[in-house]
Amino acid sequence: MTDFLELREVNWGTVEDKVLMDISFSLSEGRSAVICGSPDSGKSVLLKVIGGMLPPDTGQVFYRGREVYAGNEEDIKKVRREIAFVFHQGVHLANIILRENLLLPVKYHYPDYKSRQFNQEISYYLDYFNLGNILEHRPAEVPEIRRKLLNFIRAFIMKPRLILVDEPLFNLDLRSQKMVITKLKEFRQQGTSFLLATNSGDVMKAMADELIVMSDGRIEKIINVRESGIPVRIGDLEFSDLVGVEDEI
Amino acid sequence: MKVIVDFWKVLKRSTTEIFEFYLFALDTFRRLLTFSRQKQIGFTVLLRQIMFTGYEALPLISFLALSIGGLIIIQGYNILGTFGQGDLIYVILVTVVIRELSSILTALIVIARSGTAISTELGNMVTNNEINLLLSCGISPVSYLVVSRMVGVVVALFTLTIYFNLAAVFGGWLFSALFSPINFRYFFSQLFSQMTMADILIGVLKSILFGIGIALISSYQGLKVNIASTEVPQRTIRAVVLSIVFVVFADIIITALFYLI
Repeated sequence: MTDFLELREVNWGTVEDKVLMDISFSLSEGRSAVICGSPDSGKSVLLKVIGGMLPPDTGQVFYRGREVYAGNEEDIKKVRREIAFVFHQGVHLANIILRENLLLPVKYHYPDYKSRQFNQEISYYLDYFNLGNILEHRPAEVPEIRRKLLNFIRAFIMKPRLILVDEPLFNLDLRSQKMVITKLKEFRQQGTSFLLATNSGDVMKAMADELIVMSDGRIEKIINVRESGIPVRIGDLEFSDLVGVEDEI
Repeated sequence: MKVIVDFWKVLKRSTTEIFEFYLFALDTFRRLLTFSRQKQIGFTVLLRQIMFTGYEALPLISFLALSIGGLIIIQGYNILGTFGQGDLIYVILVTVVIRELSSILTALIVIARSGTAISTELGNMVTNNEINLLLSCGISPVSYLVVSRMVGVVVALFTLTIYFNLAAVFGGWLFSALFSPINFRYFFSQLFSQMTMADILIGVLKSILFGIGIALISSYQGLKVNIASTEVPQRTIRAVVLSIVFVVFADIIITALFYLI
């Protein structure tokens, strides 16, 4: 059976500074993994390699049997339509308003889209996150916390099969963290796969089927969380538990 | 020995950069062919580029063109009048303004305004992760940002060059009226009688080539920014210098091909 996501001996970085070394793992459809490790372990770079931003120097990334960096523009477009990326900071195009920012991937992937349908979805998420009427503003005019939540909305409205999230709780207050985790869990229950780069114990509890532990650009070990549970610590890593997912959500 | 090693390093770096730029230009032209497929997202960028490079540059171009046209008439009348060759002023106006100055001055203004803006904006987009955002959505930054800017700059530069010619000629007529009031229709009929098809073709060719060169060089330099915002001004300066060198060289080559061969 073809794996949903598969990496084969992926290497990335310069000769002097290898960031990723011989990364190989696979993820089945509907399952989610949390990538953890120290800040310089390469977990964010790994997400960017899978997310189409950093082509590997050697090795391959496959999504549903298709190599993500190979093929023509249309092939790449088909893959990207099904994978969404949430950055650790609220990244938006600075010179267009937030509504255009949210609709950018929609317009690109579905040129004949019905704006009413997407606008309804956007309104739903704006209400859910209590963001108010901010869509006519440019990104620089709204606080970072809101920009970050809008990143999640841009991913959600595309209804992707795989969502890559770099530090999902970074820059969010406690209330927003809870709302984000609740929504991520909902998507997961509906069958969406996730790869999340974080050391947050809350996110691990809520989302992880597997824990991919990285160190110095290599995968140190892969832990099947459903079988062995989430460890309290691995080496120098201590998994924080701020939100209290199990108790409150 | 050290000099040779340094020279070799510079040569290697320059060759690599030229090759990378060649590939970048090739990719841009390839994506130009499919630009219409992405009109939903790229058309707004194109319109904004035309507005900024073309429409918003009109006051400066008007001022410069009227002044240049006037100055050439003043100087021309002074010199040619002494020899009783006042009628040659039309030849000079066509040769200096329409064949040479209009395209090169317009290109220099576009470099100063739009070339710097393009490389700064794209450089900042790299450091702010905006390029990564496009890539994560599957949108090619070259298709979305570079192709639309290149088309916008070419359209704007072409239009501005025509406008510069008209404004300079009008400025020439205004100033010539100061010396000896001259019939508007006579002035223009004399002027157009001196113009050839080559003058028009060369103007069109230059503005298209200059527009492509300025947009490609500025975009390439902007996208070459790696991670630090301090690289942005360095790349912008490089974009300006290389664009000016390109425009002057291209001008010499085109002029030589048209008029000397």
